[in-house]
Amino acid sequence: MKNLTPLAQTYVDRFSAASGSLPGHNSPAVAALRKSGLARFASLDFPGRKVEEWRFTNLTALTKGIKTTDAPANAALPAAEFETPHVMTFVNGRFSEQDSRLDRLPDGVKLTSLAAELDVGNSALLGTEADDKRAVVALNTAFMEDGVVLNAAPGVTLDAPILIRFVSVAGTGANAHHMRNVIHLGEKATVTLVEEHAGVDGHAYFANPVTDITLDKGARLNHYKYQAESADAFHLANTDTELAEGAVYENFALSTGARLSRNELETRILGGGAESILNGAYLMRGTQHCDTTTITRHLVPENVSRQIYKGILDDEAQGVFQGKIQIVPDAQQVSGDQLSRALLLSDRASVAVKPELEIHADDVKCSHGASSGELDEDALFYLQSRGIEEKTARKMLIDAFLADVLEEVSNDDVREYFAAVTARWMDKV
Amino acid sequence: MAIRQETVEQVASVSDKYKYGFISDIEADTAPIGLSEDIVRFISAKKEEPEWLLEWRLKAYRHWLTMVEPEWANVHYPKIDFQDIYYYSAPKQKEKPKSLDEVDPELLEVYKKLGIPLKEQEVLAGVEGAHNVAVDAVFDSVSVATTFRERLEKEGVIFCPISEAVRNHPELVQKYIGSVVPYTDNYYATLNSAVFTDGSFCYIPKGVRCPMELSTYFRINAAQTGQFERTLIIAEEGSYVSYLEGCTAPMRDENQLHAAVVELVIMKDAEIKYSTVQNWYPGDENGVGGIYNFVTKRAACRGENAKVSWTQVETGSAITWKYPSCILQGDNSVGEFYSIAIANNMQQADTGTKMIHLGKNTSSTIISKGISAGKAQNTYRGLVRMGRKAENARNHTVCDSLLIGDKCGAHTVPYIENQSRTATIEHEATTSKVSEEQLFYCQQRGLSEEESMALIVNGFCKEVLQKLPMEFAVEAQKLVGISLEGSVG
Repeated sequence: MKNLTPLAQTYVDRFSAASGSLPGHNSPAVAALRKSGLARFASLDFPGRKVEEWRFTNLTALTKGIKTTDAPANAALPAAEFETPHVMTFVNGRFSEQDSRLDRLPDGVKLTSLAAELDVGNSALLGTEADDKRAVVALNTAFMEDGVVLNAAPGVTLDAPILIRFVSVAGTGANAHHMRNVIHLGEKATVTLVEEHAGVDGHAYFANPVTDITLDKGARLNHYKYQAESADAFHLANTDTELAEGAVYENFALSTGARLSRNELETRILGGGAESILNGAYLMRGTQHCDTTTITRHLVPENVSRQIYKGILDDEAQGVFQGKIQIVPDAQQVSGDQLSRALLLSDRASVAVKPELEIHADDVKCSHGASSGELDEDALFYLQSRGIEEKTARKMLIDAFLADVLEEVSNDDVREYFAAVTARWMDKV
Repeated sequence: MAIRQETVEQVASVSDKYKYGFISDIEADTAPIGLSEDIVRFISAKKEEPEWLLEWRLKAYRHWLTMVEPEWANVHYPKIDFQDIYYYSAPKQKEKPKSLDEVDPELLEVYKKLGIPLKEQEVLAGVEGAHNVAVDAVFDSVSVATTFRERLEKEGVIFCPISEAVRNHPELVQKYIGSVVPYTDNYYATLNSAVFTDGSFCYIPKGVRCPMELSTYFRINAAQTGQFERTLIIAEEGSYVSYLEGCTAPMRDENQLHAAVVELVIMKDAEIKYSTVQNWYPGDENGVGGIYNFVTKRAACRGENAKVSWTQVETGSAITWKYPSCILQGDNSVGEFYSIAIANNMQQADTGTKMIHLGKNTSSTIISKGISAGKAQNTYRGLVRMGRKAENARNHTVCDSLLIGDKCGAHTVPYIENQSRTATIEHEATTSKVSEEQLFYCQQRGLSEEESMALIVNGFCKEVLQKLPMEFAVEAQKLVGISLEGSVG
């Protein structure tokens, strides 16, 4: 067998010692699941660039092992900016009751922590075996510590968004967090989630969240994610969603943080009339690397998917977008659209895009568009000729570039929140 | 709107089957089956090659042994047994013919059947007022005839089989062979470098506009034979040439391998227009037989304002695996790729292009039209890369796929890499089927369903068909109809 990467080897070596203290260690079912996850991970290792799905994202900086942090210990928790009555907070990978507020949730919405569920042996929600071909998901199955378990009863409509915060601060020794979230919406339930990942700058860690989402008939989940990890962090996230008949999944990912991040979304459409809407914006500077990878699988006839992703890359930042739309045989009357645009603000910035269509049915309409380039010189000149100074003019154009994707956020409060975040980022351009 | 004469002819020919599938009984001189250093030496000796070329072939062969077959393409086929192929097969002839009159009449007959004129006074059938076309005819492993050579020589243009160029112009061949596609490039190109048997060589001197179209016609005849040809075209400063390539093979129930390499070198202000109509035997409707077409084609725009244009109509082959590429090195150089890929029945096509922008103000255009019918799989796979120094480079890509029937697949896999702030890249792709409304409209005008389909598909391809030289456009248009035969209803 070939040698594992140093970090993978550390995980394999640590497993037996660590598994005794991980949640659910008394449950044979949980132990078996973790074991299968580790076996899977050990057979895969972290993907190298020869793996087609990872050709644009190099994990070497992570896999050679993260240096222990020298950030100030016990720095204050970054405050939550988004205001909502329902807040659930995880600090360094563990549920923090004192930073959470869950008493105002209506009946029918059950929000618990995964650790609590695993401790009572409830592993059924995760299946019995890790048969994933994604190494980081298998690693998560082996080492998952905590996460959100959300269950909405049929017909429930939640009035305000639930804010879920994953915060990493230095000082606890742990430099990796394997969060596992399980979300299930019953028939015609409607929920809005705002997921936030934040870390203290100077703190190096590896965040590896995995989220499994199941939407029953006619359910709607608005799922917004703001990734603002520390500038030294690695963030490799996987979100798998299954949509039943008439279900709607709206996802928007705003990424500004992490040294290296990858947001991978796999959507499986299993019902007619279902709609998958994936959008996002990434704003990167310095030497940040941001990868967005989506796979949309249309497995039955008559449904719709849409995607718009926009990126702004300054300094030496690198952006990656890989989006695959798959339509299986006989999945007729499907429409799948995708757009990816990137703006390069500096000579050293770069972007790699791979939009992919795999289509096995004829009565479908699919399209993808991709473009990349700099700010339009003519537009810039026009604004300047109207007396607007260059800096302001540039900002206006970047603002406009982002505006049409931000408009896709259907929740007004979240849209305003994200607009404020992007405006703050642009102040530093 | 009156239906144009061409359209009527084209529609009429829809009922034709693969008409190039005949087998000719021509005695052949064949190397022992299989592949080894001895075979490489055998081919080299047959061709009376100089030592350096044999060394180059052997280096390639040794390197090939260390390589593994690529599996990334979206094509599926049983493993090829490289020891079960004849690497050299040449029609037997006692002495080298001194002129066309001495060429084996049976061979001439073959090309006549294919509609390829090997007599200089003739022009391609069906096109009035067409220009003369110089033809190099490659039959299995060797070139059997090249027409209009004297006329071309007057202009200083060299157009001959590459094996002859090795003997007569070794300095040119040695300088350029492998300079665009090195012998280490990829599995099939490396194999080709070791065992290539013939192909065309073409040299256009400085400032010369080639007076006629140059054409190579490839024919695989012998059974169990692989065809490994190598084409090298050099366009010196300020020159221009339009080059056409056509290919056919007999209908056999075995799969035959065709692994070619084409290298184009384009200097300052020069232009090469390279057109291909690929009509290898595609196999029958159950996927039995047909050619595996694994081809490496690459053009290097070495000087300023160099221009290369690839136009291809891919209708044949059981499997196509082909990515004509442009390396845009010189400032202001231009690369173009126009492609129609049609896959019907059990055919699989994985084709596209690579545009590597290195120089300033370089620009490229990609227009790809993929059509899938029957149970075929058609993949567009392409790369656009803007290097750090490719200031103000531009690319525009359009990939459209058309699906006919619910058992086929159409896939698009573009790779777009941009490292240049001032570069502009635009990519769009769509996939759809022929709309019921369009079909209904044509049918209510009195066309049958099949005729309507051919008409609509031709319209879909028009952008690319218009880029073909006249002589090929007519043939290609007919081919589009034939390839889709039986795909409706």
